[in-house]
Amino acid sequence: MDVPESGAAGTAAPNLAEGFPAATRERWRALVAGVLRKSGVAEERLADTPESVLATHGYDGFDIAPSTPPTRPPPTPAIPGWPPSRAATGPAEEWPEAGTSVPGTPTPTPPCCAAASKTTS
Amino acid sequence: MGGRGRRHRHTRRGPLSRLGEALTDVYLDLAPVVLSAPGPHALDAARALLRAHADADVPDGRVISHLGLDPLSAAARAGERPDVADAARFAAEHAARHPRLGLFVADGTLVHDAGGSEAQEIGSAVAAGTAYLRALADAGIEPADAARRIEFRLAANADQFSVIAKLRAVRAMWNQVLEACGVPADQRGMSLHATTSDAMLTRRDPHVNMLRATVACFAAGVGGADAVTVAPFDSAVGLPDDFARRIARNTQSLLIEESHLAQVIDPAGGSFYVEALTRDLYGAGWAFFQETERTGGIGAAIEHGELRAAVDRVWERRRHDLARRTAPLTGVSEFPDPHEKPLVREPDPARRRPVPGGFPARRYAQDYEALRDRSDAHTAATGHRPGAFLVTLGPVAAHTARASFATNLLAAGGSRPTTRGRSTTRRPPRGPSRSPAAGSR
Repeated sequence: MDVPESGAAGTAAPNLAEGFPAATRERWRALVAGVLRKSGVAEERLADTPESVLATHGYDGFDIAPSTPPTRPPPTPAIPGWPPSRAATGPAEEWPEAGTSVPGTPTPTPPCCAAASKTTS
Repeated sequence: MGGRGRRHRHTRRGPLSRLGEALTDVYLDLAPVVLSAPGPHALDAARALLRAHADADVPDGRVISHLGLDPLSAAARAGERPDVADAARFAAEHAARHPRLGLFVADGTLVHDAGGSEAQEIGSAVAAGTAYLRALADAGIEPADAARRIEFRLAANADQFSVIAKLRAVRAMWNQVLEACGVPADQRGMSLHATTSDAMLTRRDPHVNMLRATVACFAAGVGGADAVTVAPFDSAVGLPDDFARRIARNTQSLLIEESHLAQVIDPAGGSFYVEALTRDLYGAGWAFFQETERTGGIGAAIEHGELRAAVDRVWERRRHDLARRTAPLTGVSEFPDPHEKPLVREPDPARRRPVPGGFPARRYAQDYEALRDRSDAHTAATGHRPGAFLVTLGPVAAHTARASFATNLLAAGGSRPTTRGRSTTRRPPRGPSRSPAAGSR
């Protein structure tokens, strides 16, 4: 399928943020604090990172943030469908063999796309 | 479930000599059998399984079953000193003749069922996998060949995203271990078998277990499990009946055949939330694995009680949260039905009985259910259920929130509250009948 990714259309894409003030993390935090203040959260908990009030505490020593920024990388680079994200016992019979699956080498055609192009052509 | 759409069938426990009889008409070269024979008879059971394959004329090269050897978990549950070397020698003898035979199970459900955390579960499973890898290497099997023959067993509970992230994180951890062992990248995958959590099952309002198992099965499939076992909804009560077993089978059949979960690989990959949770679980699980290795490996951690102590610390916190209902249990600590007739089943002979000094089997609902059982016993003895009288003042709108809270709270402990609001609430002469204050169900 030849669908351009969002933003790839370049100049033709409208800038939806035009006319609005630039979004900053500080501004966002001020808005979050404003909402939480109305719910009666104590002021000292809203000082630095108000969103941490909404975090979930697990049993493993880390908190689950209420909103995840796109800056966190996955633990190991994995191409979906190839080891280690899947068993090395190999893909199911109808999928192409994982010959060039080593991360860092050119990305093989994901099985789903290969199958889709077969059916649409 | 998962990409290969493999399914597992529970067979009833019987004498080992009848294993072949139980597997009559099973195409053993197409449908792998995974043994679960913990305890002193594990090697006998493995011999019986191989004999059943030979009797069915399955060529050695086409034996794809799994011996399910797990001396670490067996020793931990029995409170004994683990010995991996004997089983590894036995496994190595048979591995040479059967190139596709599975040998060991690295089981994280040992920790999960004792109330441990997700990171402890994956950390101990990878530590067990590493211990078996070492033992097989000592018995003369190459790491790449040995890794292929170790199956990982993890529990899937009703916390959907946590299960997805857990299954993704444990694959990355095992990848790391095998990379350090010098196994080529395309052979570093993990054979992952998820079972629905025994700890999450409840005896009270047991039909909610079907919902729990469905979420767990879904999450395990999406998380990339190669095989999923769904426990029947009444398995915490006793021997499951035909209906419960059928529902358990259908849960995965529907998710595979109608929801097509097995057609998509890693659909959660790329989500900021799932990737972040995977990363954090990976970090915490890896830290637990390293800590275990530092104390001399999982065998030593079981023998000297470090593993048990770590799991008990989490269980105490979990138990506190359960008791305060900050970790609610539907049908048990939330929305309990005081009129419920408990389900009755025959005792299940295959259920492991916890041994004093061994690893415990804990269920999240067990403390509440002990209270409910006590209430039932009292009712049977006296004819009266322990109760409480809720004095509800004012119209329904004014008291219903507090009354529902109190009713739920008391019913969770086995008391049946009674409410009288007549003196203060006027019922309109012919209007729709107003529900009593306890409108929880």
